[in-house]
Amino acid sequence: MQVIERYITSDKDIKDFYIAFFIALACFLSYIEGFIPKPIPGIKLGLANSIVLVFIIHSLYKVSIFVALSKVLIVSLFSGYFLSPAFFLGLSGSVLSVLAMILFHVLLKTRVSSIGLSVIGAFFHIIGQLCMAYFILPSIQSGILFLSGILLLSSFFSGIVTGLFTLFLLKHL
Amino acid sequence: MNIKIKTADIIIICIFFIFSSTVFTLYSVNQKKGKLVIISTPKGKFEYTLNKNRKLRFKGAISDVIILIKDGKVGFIHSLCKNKICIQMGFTNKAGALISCVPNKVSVYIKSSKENEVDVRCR
Repeated sequence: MQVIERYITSDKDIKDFYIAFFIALACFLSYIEGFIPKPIPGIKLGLANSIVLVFIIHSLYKVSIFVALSKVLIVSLFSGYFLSPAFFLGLSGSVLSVLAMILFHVLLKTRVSSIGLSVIGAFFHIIGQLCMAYFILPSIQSGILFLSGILLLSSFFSGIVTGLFTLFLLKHL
Repeated sequence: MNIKIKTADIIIICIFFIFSSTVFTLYSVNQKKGKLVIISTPKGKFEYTLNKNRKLRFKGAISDVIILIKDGKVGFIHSLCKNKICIQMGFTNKAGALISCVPNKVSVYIKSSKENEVDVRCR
């Protein structure tokens, strides 16, 4: 029996422990993806998003929002950029990507798999970050279009990788 | 739970690939060489030309940063921020390019045209 199915069938008290497990897993994934060599700085895979995706695929929307917000908060607290501009960039990106993924999953239901949702999530993560950067970092406003091209194209590929990883998680978690 | 790649996925992948690669080719490739570099720091904005080699030192939000202009290219060479993304971005001379050190609130932006022959301007 899979962990996520055990979570769905368990009692209300025990559900909290499973959510804690999933948040810990998301933070762990976010940490170990720092070990993957990155050819271009500022670009990462976003493997922690796959945990959020697992919940969205099982139509547990409220939990997915909670997991995404907790992950941003915990990772920022541990890496020491809580309440800095980088934290607000990550927060706005996460919120927008979770909401977009939920919207597309509500609209398309079972007609979409994790790869499509992951690409949408990665795309809207970048859009959310760029919008927030436009407001809180006035000095980069002029270069935002230059950045958006690189970030959107790389987010597309990292979205596909995260989607494939989510397929793996859905089978084995 | 049925796990398969479906038609909606392929449509989404195509749409987002076309959109992001269009944005990429329009704004990120085909960059002209810039002549003027604008450095914004917590203390204000400074303009320099790329023609002259220099080493500039600015006070950032958490530490001093050193920005080097050499052979028409500009880049960070020293900052005490945690991830050092500004230094890893390397040197560039493309118009519209931007290198910024977010923890230090220092950013370097390259402008395409030279407005006048002023060497340094402070505002």
